[in-house]
Amino acid sequence: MSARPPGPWPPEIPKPPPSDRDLPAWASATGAHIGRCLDRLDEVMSFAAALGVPVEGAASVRDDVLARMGFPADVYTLAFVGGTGVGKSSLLNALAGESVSATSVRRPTTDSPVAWVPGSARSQLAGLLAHLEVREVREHADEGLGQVAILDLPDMDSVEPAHRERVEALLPRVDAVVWVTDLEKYHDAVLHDAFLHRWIDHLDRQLVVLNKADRLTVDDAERVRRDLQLDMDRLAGGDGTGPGVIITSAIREGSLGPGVGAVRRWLAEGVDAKAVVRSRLAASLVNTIESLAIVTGVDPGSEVKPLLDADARARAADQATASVLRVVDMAGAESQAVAATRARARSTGGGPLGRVSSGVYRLIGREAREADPGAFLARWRERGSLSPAVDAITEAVTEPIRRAPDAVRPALLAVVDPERLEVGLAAATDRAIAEHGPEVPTSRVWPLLGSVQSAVTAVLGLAAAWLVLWIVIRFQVNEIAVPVLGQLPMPLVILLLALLAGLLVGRLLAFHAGWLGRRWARRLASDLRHAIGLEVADTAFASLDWVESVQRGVWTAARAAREECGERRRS
Amino acid sequence: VIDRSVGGSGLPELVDRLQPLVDERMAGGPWSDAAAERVRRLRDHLLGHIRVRIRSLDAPLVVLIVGPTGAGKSTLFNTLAGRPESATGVLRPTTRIAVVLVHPDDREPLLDGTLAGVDRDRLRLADEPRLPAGLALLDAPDLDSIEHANRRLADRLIEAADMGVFVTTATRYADRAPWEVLRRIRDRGLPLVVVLNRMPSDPDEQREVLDDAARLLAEAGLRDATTGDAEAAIEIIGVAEGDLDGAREALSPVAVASLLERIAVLRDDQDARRALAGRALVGALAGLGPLVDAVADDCEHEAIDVAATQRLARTAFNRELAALREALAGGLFLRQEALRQWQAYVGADEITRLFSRGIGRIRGLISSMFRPSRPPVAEIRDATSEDLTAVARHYASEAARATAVAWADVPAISVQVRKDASLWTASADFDSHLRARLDQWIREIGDDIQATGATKRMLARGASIGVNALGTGVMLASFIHTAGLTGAELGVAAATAFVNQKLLSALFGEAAMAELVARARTRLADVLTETFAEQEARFTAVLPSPAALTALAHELRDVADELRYLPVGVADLQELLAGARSSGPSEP
Repeated sequence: MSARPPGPWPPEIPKPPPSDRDLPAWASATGAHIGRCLDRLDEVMSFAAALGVPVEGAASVRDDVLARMGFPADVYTLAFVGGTGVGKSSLLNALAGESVSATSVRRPTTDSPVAWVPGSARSQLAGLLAHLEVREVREHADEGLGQVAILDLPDMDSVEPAHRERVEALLPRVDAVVWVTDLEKYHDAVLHDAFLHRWIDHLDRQLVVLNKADRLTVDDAERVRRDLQLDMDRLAGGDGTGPGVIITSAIREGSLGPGVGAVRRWLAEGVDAKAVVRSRLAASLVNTIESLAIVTGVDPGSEVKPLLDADARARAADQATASVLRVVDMAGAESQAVAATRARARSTGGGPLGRVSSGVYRLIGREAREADPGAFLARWRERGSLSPAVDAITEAVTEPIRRAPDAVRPALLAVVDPERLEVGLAAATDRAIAEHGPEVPTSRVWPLLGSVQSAVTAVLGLAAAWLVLWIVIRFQVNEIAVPVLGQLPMPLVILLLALLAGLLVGRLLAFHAGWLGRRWARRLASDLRHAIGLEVADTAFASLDWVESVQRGVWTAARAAREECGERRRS
Repeated sequence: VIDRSVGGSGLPELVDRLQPLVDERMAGGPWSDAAAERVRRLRDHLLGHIRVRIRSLDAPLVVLIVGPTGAGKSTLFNTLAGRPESATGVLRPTTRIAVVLVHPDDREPLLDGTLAGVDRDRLRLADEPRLPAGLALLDAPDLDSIEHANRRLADRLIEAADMGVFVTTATRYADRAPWEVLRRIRDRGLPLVVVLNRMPSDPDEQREVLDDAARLLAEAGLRDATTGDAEAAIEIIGVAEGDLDGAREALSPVAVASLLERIAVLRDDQDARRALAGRALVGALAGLGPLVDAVADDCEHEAIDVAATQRLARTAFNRELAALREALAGGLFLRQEALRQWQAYVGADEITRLFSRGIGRIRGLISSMFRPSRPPVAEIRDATSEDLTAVARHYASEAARATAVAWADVPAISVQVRKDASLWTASADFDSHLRARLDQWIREIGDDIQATGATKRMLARGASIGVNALGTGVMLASFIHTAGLTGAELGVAAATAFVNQKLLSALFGEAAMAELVARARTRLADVLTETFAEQEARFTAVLPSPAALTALAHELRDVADELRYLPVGVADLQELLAGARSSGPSEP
């Protein structure tokens, strides 16, 4: 069995501590308020953790974001990422108009990142560059390029695995990316599968540069560019929002080949560094939130789907209720209720003989056995187990477990802990029975009938005594005058009449008690059925409801993140 | 056709033995991607190369052009073909099919042999009458583009090649993706020519790139297999940027002169072809044993993994079966109503009164007047069967769910397990199967009582109570039992157990009763074990059999061992080749 959540069930969902982060002023703006995005991430992480979903990846994104906010955002960092030999360093040199990063025909060339920064921002950037572990820093005085620190990274596809590791370690921490590729490599599996596919959504400002276009005619180069642009749009969700693709030519140091001007313009176009950093952090946070939501089985793009649809839920609850009712034995309870009413009627309205038979029944335990619906109901455990009821529910919940995302399955499995369910159902049943504690009905008619019956019994006794006396005396004395009613002696007539009256009154009592008893029994049964149904439905899916409420929490936070951090495309 | 094949060496027989083993392994669907890749390679290699070559060294010799996307494979191919046969273009990847340049007579042998099993839609055969029969030129699709099917096709073709031409560029020569293919060429000992396209124009830079590429190749252990020298470097042909023969979508012939020359030798000299084919076969055979061993290793590892997965199910079912036994042991699952009925029937008996005193005796006397006239056999049996089935189903479902959840994490079967909803609970026929077994169990208790009673001289009362009622007593006794306490103030189960035991021991004697009950319990345990085993078997059916895998590994190892000691080495092949040369290409 998987790990069950310890402590009381359902466990409390840990609320993230109230955020009292000391955020830089640039981190909050209309459209993307990083503080609020972080709060949402914290919420989603705590929900996910409650479901047992690993949150290490999200935590590291969070740490990267927090770390980035510790540095000034007056200058943003932009990384050149691409395969070996596509011309990353050459592009940088072309932009600079001088040799900034070493180029060579040997592959791979660059093995540690080189930064090219505005001289005015050098000191301000020192901390950030150290954080990024960029040691080689070159300055420039070109004010036209905008507030950007360009990082020339090593390749990610050569025989040197360490190069790719460096790129992967840096990608989550840079503010913008220029993906550099060329006519040979633009459809390489490693570029698409391992990088573009994974990172396009996590970045905001990015550009694709297709280098070495001078190998082709202008038309052919444009065809290739369109091919790649189509891919980018598709990756970004198909709505034409993919990063732009710019063609550049093989660049020799110092010469601004065609296209390099376009890259320059892209770099310089009225970009506010703070906005770039903010959008990047927001994109990264929103996408982390959405990925985590997906892992917990929630799609922020659509409504929350219930784990178990209403029909299946109702079916299982009905089945479980029926099983519980079978054990509780409603027919038995009804007949006990009728018997109890009759017994009560007998003792109050049965006259002296009724009292005697009541006493006998009580003595031999028949009354307790057959005429005590309260005790009968409370003894439901003796009439069978709740296993079938528990199974009806666990089997229904198995379906969502089967369909659940891998990460959530253990939490759901803990939900169908049958022992807890059985205990819960038993308590629910007890509760329903206790709430409808049977109070045996009574009637004012009964004592009346009782006194009539008593009177009849007295008459009966007197008549009998008279008769006995008459017989005894008749045999001792020869003849005594006895009133005679026609041919019959008076005592006999009285005796017979009293017997008839007693019988009639008894029948009347039984009839009335039976009617009252059945009416009460029916009401009791229907109340109980209803109560048990409600209690079972409440108990059966309490745990599932808990998971659903956690998922809804994730969904709400993820939706809020979309609002507060800006709507993001998702692949 | 001894002179042109290695038919007499025992090799064909070994390959015939190996083939079905490999097919079996493929059909079993290896659990890990790496294992699937290895057996795929072995199958392709057997099918596309070894079987073809041992049949005849004169089967078409395959020169394969491979390389990353956009490196200029098709351009080179066109150069070698002398005409634009393979499409070149700017959109990557350009070639999504393999183009084969072949003599018309070689079409059929090639398709039935070397290229057997390759999807025909992904092949284009171009006839080239100028090429002699016995030489085929293949242009493979790329190794590294987003079209992953291209890589799979190239991998298949590599296994069939006799000679490799690796085309790359000055940009790409240090790319990581194609090195796996180069290593495979190395392992097979194939002759390899490297063409480095788009070289810088500066001679110094050309030298630098060539040296660097040579260093990488040497570091990866790639040597020229065509010379006797074990340390000979691979020939690298540098082609300068723009050195194109534009009209034919080809490289300038001058640039690749040395490669053209090598192809020309193969074209003109059958012996050269045969020598190359022989060398490729020797390399193939040398590598075959280790490859078969690796596949056998995979089988053994998989057998261990499968057994571990089976154990997950075994553990879950055993645990739940033990829990079920525990739940049954105290008789708590029996509804007390049924027990009370039985107690009322048996407890009213005078036997009980013998052991009661005072008020109990009087109560017994009174209640014996109310004694049910008919033993409640059917009611109790039905109630017991029903309750037992419900409880057992509950535990069986638990076991199934635990197993399914655990198995959903095993990558190789995860999809199948997740798809099959029926695996996640006890099977639909669980109830009916268990009920049938329980009915049989109760019948057997009856048989047992009759056998015991026949030898024991049953009491007259016992006979009057009837075998069915006694059977019910024994059945209940196998769940509920008490250790000599008087049942008066204990729960109904203990009280019923008490009177039940008194009745049975009075009828059969203490020892015989104990045996009867013990036998009933053992048989019930068997019934439950059997039913749970049936449930577990639904899971085991999903898995391959570890025994079969181990056996397969064993057979593969046998073949690998024999391959190692096969009397065919380089020397033998040289001899065969020499024989072939002296006798000439006489018979077909």
